[in-house]
Amino acid sequence: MSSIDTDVDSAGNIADKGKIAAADVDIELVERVKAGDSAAFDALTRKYRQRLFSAVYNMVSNREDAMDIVQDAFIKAFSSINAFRGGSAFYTWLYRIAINMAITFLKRARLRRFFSFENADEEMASGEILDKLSVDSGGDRAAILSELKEKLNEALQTLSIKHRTVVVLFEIEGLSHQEIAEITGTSEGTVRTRLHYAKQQLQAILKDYIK
Amino acid sequence: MADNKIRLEDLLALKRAERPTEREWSEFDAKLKDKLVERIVRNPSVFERIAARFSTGRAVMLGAASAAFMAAVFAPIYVSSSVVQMGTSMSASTVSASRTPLPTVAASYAVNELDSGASASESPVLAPMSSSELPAVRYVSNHLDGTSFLF
Repeated sequence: MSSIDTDVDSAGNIADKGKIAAADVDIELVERVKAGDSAAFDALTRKYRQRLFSAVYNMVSNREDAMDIVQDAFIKAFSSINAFRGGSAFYTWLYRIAINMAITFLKRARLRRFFSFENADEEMASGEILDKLSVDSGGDRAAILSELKEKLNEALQTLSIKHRTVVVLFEIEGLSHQEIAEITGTSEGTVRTRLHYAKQQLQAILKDYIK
Repeated sequence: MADNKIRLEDLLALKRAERPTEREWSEFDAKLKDKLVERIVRNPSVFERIAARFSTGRAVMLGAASAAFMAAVFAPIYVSSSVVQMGTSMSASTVSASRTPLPTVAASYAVNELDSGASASESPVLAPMSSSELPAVRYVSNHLDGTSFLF
């Protein structure tokens, strides 16, 4: 799922070189932040704001709320940056803070109206889906795309918070089971079970639209 | 819609294309900086560092241990020196009260002028100050089993 390149080492293990390199860069930036380098803070913010926003937005389903939560997550992360010891990757540590804040937010306000992005960049969406839509829907791609997204968002909102979290992090953010387990504080087995259940739920809800 | 069914994974992939515009990111950055400044003003880093080093539980334990240490070291000295100076004819509570540092009082009062209505419950009496030369006003509360307060 991840866009980062992967490779297989001599022992047959999948080594994610991109992630390892990114982690090294992050550690260096974190050390600079600890030393009071504001430019490093900006660099980390710009590097991860989109990913955090995407995860939080797909959980809380409201753009403004997602923006607020991500900002607060960054502030919380950097105000407690000394607590980060490098035991896990920086971005999983950052994700954990943001996801926990999103979960807290959802628990406080369970019912939220959903506002889907109207400015979603279709060029970035799946070309395969758009091709299908253009062939089968009489050319009104924007309307169908909007309807599909709305149905998907409605379906996501029917999931429990813990199931929604796993779906968002795995299917949308492209994180691995292990990374999700670290972020959510559960085992990989639990992540897999939740993911399986959540996808079953989504399949059932969206059966009129998907295979 | 029946003819253009797609996979769930493909549908979820659509979500990845949803992202704020550059203008929205600019607003995000500006607001984040505002929040950071507010946070710094509200909680200077020195307090954050102290808080990080001492959790609440550790701080309470440290405070309690310090208080216990102070009491253990100074209380025996305080009581023994008071008894030696004031003699054994006075009660322990009187001795302690007499050794309490007193504010300077320009004159002694025969009655409690600050609250005359309290005369039924408080009886002003003359008592020796620690200097043993100038009298002070002692209020004896009838509600506290003779506990006295010096002014």
